[in-house]
Amino acid sequence: MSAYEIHADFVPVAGRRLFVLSHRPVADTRGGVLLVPPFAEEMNKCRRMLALVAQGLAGAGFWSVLPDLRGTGDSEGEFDAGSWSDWKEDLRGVAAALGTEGWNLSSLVGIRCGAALGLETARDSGWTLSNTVLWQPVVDGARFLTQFLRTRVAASLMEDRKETVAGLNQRLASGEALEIAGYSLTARLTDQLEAVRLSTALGSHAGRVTWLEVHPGETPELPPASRACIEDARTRGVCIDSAIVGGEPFWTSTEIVVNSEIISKTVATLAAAA
Amino acid sequence: MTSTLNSLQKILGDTLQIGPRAASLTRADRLLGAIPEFDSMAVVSIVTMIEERFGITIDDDDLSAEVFETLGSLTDFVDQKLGH
Repeated sequence: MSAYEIHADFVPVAGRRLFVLSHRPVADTRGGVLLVPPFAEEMNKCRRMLALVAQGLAGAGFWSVLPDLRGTGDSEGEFDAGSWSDWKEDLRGVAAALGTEGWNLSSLVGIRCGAALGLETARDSGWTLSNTVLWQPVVDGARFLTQFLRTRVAASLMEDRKETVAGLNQRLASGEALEIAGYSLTARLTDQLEAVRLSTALGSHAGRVTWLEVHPGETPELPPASRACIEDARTRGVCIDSAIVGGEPFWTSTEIVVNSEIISKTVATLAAAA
Repeated sequence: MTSTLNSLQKILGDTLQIGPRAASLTRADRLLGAIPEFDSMAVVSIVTMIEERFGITIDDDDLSAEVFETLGSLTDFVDQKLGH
């Protein structure tokens, strides 16, 4: 178990201060891991999991970095001022700033939407990763957005004023900002999110990919959309292993859930590779 | 083969984190407005999980407060989607 320090810093990116939490082993590191957070409320649900994986990785000798993307967490800006492309700029900026401090990006852990966000950034920035670990990755941004908009539709059911996803999409398209589950969304973000497809971001730059999903009950197989994305990437020569872990959906549960098997598998995968 | 009702009890138990309480829910038990954990986020999680587990697609037009009124109404809705 390596000793490590925890640093909380503000890193300037595009004129704004981004909050970045880094876990740094005191001795030589075995590489740097970029932790890419999920979207909106899912980030809050995953804070504990991310803290634990950062501690686990630090104990195994890895320097990890977790940014709060612009407009989220303790970073500057409002949520509706950020967009998918802004967040990619944030990840690039954080990697560049910490690179000068000796952080050497070797692997990526992407959670939910953070999977495509991190891998698109890696592809666009020319990063070659040795390992990528994905937690319950979002495969299709359009489908994810529909599910997110449904939170508001579901709330409307309870108040006896029925809204629809199509209706909400129209209002977004007309330039209205909509509040969904406490987050203000605009078309600038949703148009980009809607176009996100994980398969286009999954290339050889990801290195060895480990795809982890949590499903309750007795070891079911991966959902069809995940299987299709994995098969597609494999035909393009991407090396992907997948595993299903039992448990509750930690990214959306009402109570904070920790899935220690996801954490230990992530740490073990990176430790075995380094 | 597990029935739609049993599968839905499991989905509710996992999503609402009410554990074994879910297994004792009957068709007559009220959901929306009766179980505190059953909020809008939970509705979305449940709909998403139903789509994944049963391999069906649920449209907005299908969503209504009536569907989520009781476990029985939800079971009937899924069975109807499955063509049972």
